[in-house]
Amino acid sequence: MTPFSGLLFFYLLGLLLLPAVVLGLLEKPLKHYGLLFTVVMLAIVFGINGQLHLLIVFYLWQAGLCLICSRLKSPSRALSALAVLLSLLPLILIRLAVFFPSLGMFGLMGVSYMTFRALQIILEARSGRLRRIPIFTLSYFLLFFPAVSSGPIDRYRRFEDDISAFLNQEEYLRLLRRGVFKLMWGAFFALGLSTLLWNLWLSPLPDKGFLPAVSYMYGYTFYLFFNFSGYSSMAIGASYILGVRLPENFNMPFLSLDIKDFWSRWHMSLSAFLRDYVYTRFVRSCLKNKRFKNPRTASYAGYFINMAIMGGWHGFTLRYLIYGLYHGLLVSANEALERGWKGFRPFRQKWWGQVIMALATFHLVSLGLLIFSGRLI
Amino acid sequence: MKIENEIMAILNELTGAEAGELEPALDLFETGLLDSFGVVSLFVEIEERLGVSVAAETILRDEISTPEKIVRRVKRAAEC
Amino acid sequence: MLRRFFIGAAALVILSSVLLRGVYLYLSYSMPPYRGSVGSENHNQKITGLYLVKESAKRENSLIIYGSSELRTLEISTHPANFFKGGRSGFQVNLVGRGSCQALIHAISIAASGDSLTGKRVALITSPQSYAEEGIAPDMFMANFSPQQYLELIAAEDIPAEMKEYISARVETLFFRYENMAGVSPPDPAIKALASHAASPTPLSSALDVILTPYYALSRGLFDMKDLTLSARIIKSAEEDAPRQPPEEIDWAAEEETAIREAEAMTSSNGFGILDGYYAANIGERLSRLENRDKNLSYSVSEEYGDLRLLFEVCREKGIEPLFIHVPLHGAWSDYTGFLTERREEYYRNVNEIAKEYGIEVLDLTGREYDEYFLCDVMHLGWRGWLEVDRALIEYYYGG
Repeated sequence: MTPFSGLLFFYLLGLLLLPAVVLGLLEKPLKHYGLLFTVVMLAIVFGINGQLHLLIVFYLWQAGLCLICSRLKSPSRALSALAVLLSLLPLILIRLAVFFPSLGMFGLMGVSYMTFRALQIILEARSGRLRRIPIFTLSYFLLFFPAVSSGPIDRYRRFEDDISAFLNQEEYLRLLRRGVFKLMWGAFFALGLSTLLWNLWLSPLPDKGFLPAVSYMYGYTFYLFFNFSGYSSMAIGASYILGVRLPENFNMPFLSLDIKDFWSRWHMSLSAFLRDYVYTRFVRSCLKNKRFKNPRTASYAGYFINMAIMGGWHGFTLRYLIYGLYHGLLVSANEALERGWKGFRPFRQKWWGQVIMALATFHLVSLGLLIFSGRLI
Repeated sequence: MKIENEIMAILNELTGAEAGELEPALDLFETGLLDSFGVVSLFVEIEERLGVSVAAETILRDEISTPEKIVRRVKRAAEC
Repeated sequence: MLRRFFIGAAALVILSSVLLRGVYLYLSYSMPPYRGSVGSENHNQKITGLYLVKESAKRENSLIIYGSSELRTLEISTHPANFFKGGRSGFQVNLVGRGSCQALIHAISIAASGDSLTGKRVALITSPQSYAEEGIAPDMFMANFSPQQYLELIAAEDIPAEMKEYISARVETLFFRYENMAGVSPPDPAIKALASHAASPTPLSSALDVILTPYYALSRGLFDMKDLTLSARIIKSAEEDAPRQPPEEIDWAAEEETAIREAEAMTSSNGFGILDGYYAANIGERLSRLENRDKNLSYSVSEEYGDLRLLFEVCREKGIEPLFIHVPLHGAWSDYTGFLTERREEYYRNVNEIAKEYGIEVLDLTGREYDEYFLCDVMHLGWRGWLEVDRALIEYYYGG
């Protein structure tokens, strides 16, 4: 069973969200039922797919690592690095299935997103900002059902604030209304528009030829946007009904004026996560240790590492690696242009400049997604 | 006042803005004065000069979008 | 505040049900009138849906043929779809089935058809290779199984409880076997839950059934809409009906002669009277390796016999007096592969006994094993075989 698709899923989702609505309207705390909801939904979805045992092992593994890390007084650097590696291990094993097909048996839905949740706890525990997190909150955060299969990527601190906040009836109603709307809007995007695009535009295209590839590039870009943003929106909508405000994942990405702007509008929760935990950490350590003569070099190197990891996270195949490096190059070029060309900012403020930039950005992004789609390689 | 002056000085250096251009309520991200690299450099500088450590990954962009918000955030970090 | 919420929620529920109902009504009113020529083509929608077969049964001149892969041999001019083209004998055949549509698939389809087939002309064709020990193969079952029909028959009041139980137990078993095959995606969990509840209810399955009841109703409604949409497309693309004419006198000797000439031209590559294309693809150079391949094959015990009983029982329940067509094996070929007379006879006898038990009219062709061009390959009816069937269909259609 795939989350957020098929009549049966939505029927069960609606049925199991009803008690949350009742609790929310009665101004009762939602988190206990929320965890129950998460466990039941996971048991249904993963049970039907025959992956429940794998999920339990995965959960115990990650929760164990998080608990140990958050309870160590002052974990050494090596210990912390080891924990990060162990937390990444299941994801890496699954990704390696491209090379060793026998690893495919570990393939578990949602691993990439759940790994991100565990990783932040381990990383933050090392800097001493998370101490003795309760098992309840940890489990709820690690497993939180709505975002399990396709994000968005939430942050622990934000999540914790949400589930312990009191919502009065009026606030809950507002959240509920927006949640229901987002669910339906997302379904319209992901199940309606993206399916139409696939059936009417992409699947009739011939496999070979230059023009079909160009057409595929445009079609796939829109298809992926409607599909992905639709699923994100449904996840966000369902989370609202549980009193959790999952962060937004898309904000009109095709209006981006440059590549950096694009990454603050497309799969925002992933780019923010990587910015904070990869780019920022890397650049800060470079600056502190004066690793580069020109500090900006650290920034460019940071972008490449950041984007390569972003590509690799999607899978260890050539096209994702190229996709990552392509965006590393684009973001660096973007920053170089911003700094090197005095006219950049004024140009960006004129209306015709904006039109040109938005069009150029759109095409650069579409080309990237064409690489991503695997049609070329 | 020391914190405020120091932060404004750092911001002026980082953004290359003219003296007085940085209004306390000016949105630094909207105007493109501050980017990801700027944020990292800002907090590395603050840590070096003021000895206040703020982990950049725990900050929401919204919390540091203007000079006055940055000052508030750093003061909060200095208190605890 | 709360009142506004309840009003909003109620409005949403009412609006969506009105919308669904409206779409359904629109679809049913805008259905194009059924065309008989839909019957001459092999559409999957006839196997998995309900509408097309019901509509064809409404016409007084329909003869519905439930069969399997033999229905596909449209290149043979004596195939009923070709032979009766234009209504030359006063009726229109309607082919329902494709490869591996065995007794269970047809039993479910007929059981779900309400009273639309009562007293209608129905022919059933069975083929020997269905009678492997485990009956219908799980993947073939899944490919032809219709959740729409299954939901319909479970909800139907005119089907006795034991029949629902037997069908559900079979569905449950086949789902289970399917799940245990390598590299398949899990079958519909709600249907699986329904089948296991209907086969042997437990407190847990009853609770689950209560929870899922609205889902089943909703999903039936959606299946009906999908059925209407796909059927409308098929009807629109079908040829218009030819004007009805009085049945033609048929010169069977001349037809037979033409059929043999056609057969000779289409089987020049081999001495078994097998279609050239089939022979090249399936036998050809492998001929010597196939000798005695079936020396251990037996159809003496098979789950298919149980399904055949079910099919006859469903017909009795629905007031259908079908014509059952008992197809022979290819005599010369079976001798070559080592599936010997004794075991062939055993299978023929088994089926005949079951048919007799239910008082079913049988067109028994099993004595024609060695007739040249009776089959078109190692298992499917051919030029002369179909001609025999055509003659029997006319007799059946106009008979008592």
